[in-house]
Amino acid sequence: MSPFLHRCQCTRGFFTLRPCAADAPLVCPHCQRRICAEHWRAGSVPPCCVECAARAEEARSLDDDYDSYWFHSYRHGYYRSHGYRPIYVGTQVDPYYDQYDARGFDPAAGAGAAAAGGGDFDDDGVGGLGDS
Amino acid sequence: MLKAKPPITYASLAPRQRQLLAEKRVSDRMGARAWLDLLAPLARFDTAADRARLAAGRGTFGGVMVTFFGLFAIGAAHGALWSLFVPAAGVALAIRSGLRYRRLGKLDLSNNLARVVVPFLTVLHEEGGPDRPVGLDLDLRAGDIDEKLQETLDLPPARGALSIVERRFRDPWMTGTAELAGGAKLSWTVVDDVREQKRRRRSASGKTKTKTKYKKRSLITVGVSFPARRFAVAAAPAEAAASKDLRVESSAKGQTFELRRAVKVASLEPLDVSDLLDLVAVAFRRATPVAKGAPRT
Repeated sequence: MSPFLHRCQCTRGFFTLRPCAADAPLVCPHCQRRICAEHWRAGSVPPCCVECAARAEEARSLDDDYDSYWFHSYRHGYYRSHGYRPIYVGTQVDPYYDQYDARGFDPAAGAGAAAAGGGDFDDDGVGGLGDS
Repeated sequence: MLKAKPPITYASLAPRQRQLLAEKRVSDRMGARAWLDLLAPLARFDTAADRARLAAGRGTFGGVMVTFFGLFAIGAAHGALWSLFVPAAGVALAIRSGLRYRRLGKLDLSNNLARVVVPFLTVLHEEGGPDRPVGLDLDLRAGDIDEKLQETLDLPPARGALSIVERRFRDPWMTGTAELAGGAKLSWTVVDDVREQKRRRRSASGKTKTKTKYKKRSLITVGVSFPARRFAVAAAPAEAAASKDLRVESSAKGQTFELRRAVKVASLEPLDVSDLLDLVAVAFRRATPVAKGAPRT
């Protein structure tokens, strides 16, 4: 991958989180992360990523549109109110998600990773924290 | 500023959406994105139609009142020509609003669509991706229609009631399957048991009044299968093994959780989508993804 090509640092998923990895031409002024157009909330003042907007604002009422912003608002609220710890399957540990106390790969299982070989968690080519 | 989305009108709906609006049932298997493209505009239309229907109901009531007081106005004005217009306008308003109310009533979909189905599909879309197939069998008719009536009971009158009639309905309105991230497979069913109780009693002034109350119990059943090659699942605790609300089956291929939860409400309001997601989360709380090539559990 080109070092000049930036990938979106937002996460997709609800029960399991994974990197978005779309082209990211934008930078969030709050978290300084690279953000793709889908995860950009132009309506916020100042414009920022949907995750920062979701953390800053209350979730909208349920009769509104169920778009990307609604999803991230709901997800953020759900993790906080229900104490759910999502599984994180990204290759990098992003401190942005520390407050979710996300779970990584099973350390015991990860210890056997190098020896056994085999497929990744998902089919998108993204490895886990146990990967080198 | 956010751009305001254009209002959804009946004319702007696609033929399949209009068909669904008429039949109020759909059964298909397609990607989450395709489901959202089909159902999200319908949910927005239904929400707008509910508001318009409420306004039409108020208009009908207002028309009746204007007609009623307009008749008095004719008498008070000694039959002056202008006074005839007041009840005439009231009748016209009542008829127009009444017809609109009736027409919108025929297009009404269950609020389960906007409050449960679309948010749940939005979560599935994010979790599994836009193209992973989601099988969905939806019945968006009201939960208390005659077709869903199971039994009618005449209960013994109590607390001054003249009669108590209870009607029980069963509404299995959503069944679905989906594939989630990591190859986990999800299936779910939501069945509403609705109890409608009509209580007739005589008031102090001698009038007979009827009061209708609803109680609803939504039984949510969720199955989550984790493939062993990708997930390690913690063993079920002893108390959970004996529970009828949680069943765990293990095999060499993986582990399957079946969870049930009943949610009771004293109205016909839809359940909270979090109740459905909670059950799936119960299974995921116990699962840990296995790292690349890890030994199978």
